[in-house]
Amino acid sequence: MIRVHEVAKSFGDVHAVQSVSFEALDGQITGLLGPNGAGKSTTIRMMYGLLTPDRGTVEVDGFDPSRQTVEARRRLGALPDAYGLYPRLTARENIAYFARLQGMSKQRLTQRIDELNELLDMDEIIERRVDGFSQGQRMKVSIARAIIHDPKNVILDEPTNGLDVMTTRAMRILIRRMKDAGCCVILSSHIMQEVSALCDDIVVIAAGKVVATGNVDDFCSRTGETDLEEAFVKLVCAE
Amino acid sequence: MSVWTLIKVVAHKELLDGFRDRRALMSALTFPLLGPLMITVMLSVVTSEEEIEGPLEVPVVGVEHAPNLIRFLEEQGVVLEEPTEEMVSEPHEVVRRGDEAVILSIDEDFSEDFKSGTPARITMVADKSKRSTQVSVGRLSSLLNAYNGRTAQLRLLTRGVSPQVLSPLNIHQEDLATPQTRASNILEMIGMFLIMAAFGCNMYIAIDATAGERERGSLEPLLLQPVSSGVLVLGKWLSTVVFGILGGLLTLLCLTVAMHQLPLENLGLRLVLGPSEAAKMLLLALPLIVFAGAAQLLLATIAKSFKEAQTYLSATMILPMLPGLFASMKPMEPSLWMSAIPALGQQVMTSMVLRGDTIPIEYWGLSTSVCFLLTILCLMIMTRVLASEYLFRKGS
Repeated sequence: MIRVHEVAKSFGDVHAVQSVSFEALDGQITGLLGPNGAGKSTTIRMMYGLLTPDRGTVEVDGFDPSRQTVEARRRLGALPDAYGLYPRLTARENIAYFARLQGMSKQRLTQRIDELNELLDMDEIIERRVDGFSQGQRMKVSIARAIIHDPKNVILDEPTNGLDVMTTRAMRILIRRMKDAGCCVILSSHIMQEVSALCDDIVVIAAGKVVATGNVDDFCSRTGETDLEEAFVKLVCAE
Repeated sequence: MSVWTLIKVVAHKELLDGFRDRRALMSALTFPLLGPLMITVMLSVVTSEEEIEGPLEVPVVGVEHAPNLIRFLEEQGVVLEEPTEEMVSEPHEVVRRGDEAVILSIDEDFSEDFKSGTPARITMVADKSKRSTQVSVGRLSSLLNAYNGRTAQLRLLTRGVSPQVLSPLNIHQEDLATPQTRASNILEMIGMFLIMAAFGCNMYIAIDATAGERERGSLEPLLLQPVSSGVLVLGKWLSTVVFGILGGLLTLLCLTVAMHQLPLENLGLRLVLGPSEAAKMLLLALPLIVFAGAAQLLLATIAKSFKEAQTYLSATMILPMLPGLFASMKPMEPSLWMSAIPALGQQVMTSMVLRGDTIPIEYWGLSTSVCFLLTILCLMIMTRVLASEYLFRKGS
């Protein structure tokens, strides 16, 4: 479970996040929805513990990522918006590197890579060097790398960006599976269909503040719209 | 997993990545091969110049005016050449073109002046700015001086004066240069190439492990792993040290082989560069390699991009070369303060090894501790930078 409580973060004069609070529960997919520059990435980086909030607290299964960094990160699988791989390493080596850094034994990680290989259908690419992979292939390796240690909490920053239909579908299936396994999944996106199709709970962020929380039906009934996109526009512009 | 295991995991990945990187390997190989190659070329140029020690060949204009001088020169083994038309009319032009090192021209009035006791004129046309002609010019002028002295002595004798009157001083030169010290210019260069290898061989891997990670977007995922940034820094640093040591080893190996291929004895040079000297030099270079890796990693971490890091590090490559370049032009007396400056200290000490001197323990101690302290400082700053928000401020 990830709990964000009234966090704020400024960079000089820029108040990137002014006040964001929400709870992402286990066994649920929580969507972070907001226009570009709304403060999603900054909020997510505070959840990773890469940035320390000026005010407020973040908890990952009860651990503060900026103070109890190691404990928090063991419980966290992260797919940042920059998900670069090492082009001269094979897909397997890329995944194994992070698995080792997560403290997994060689035997355990081999087992787990086989599992993910099957789940993500990576047979063709697993022993190939990453250089020259397509966007979709790179995303598969990145997601495998992010969840190699079987984390209870997963944060995915725009995971279907630039993917083709087939890979997007595979990604959605994977996300639902993680939810079914009882994981706490946070999904940041600006694609309405994706959020409405996947998320149990949606947090709308605009100008560094939470402007609405709830599910698609809540938003629609509150704004009198039938479509999430229209509701979103109303919510964001009301600010 | 223990911290050490994690450091090894990081170092192992960086090395695997580095050895598969053709650019990193190329840059790691450039310096070990470049140094010995340059020294070989320079030395063979020097050897070919020294080979002028054969018979001195001089074209002489106006041979008929000074038969005695000519006979003297021939007795001394000078081969006199028949001058061409151009040498007679335009001697300056011929020398300037470099066709001849020197042309000797005897005045028409030579014989008359000589007989009457007036200084008789002969002209040496030479271009002293041309290094390659200096040997011939020097030899010819000392022969002419010898003839001058001999004639003067004979003239004094015929007038009943002791020739000793003309030599109030008896100048005796003692040359203390041993063949080994004479080689010192070349020695300074060997030290310099070793130092360049220490900085050059791990440069690429240092950039790739820091600015490269950032540019590929793999730094953020890496920093999200549950390891402290100190572990990442130490692992990356270890991999640069491995590359540096391999580069140093290769440099010394190539240098040793090159030195043994060259006809150094012909030059009167004796270089002590055997396996034990090579081992000593590598040991001397080790603290510098260790420091070079840390310094380059830090610089490349702060750089905004791969290109910027490359620019910074190429610029800093020149710094460690300066003492070597300076020393090979103007040899300096080693003193203790020099060993406190990384690169300069190693320069001084490697020269000592090659000169066959023993290294004073305080030189070694000071230079090693300075390098290690600076290394720790660089690694600590880098750990702070990676752990800080510096890399993840808005817009970066």
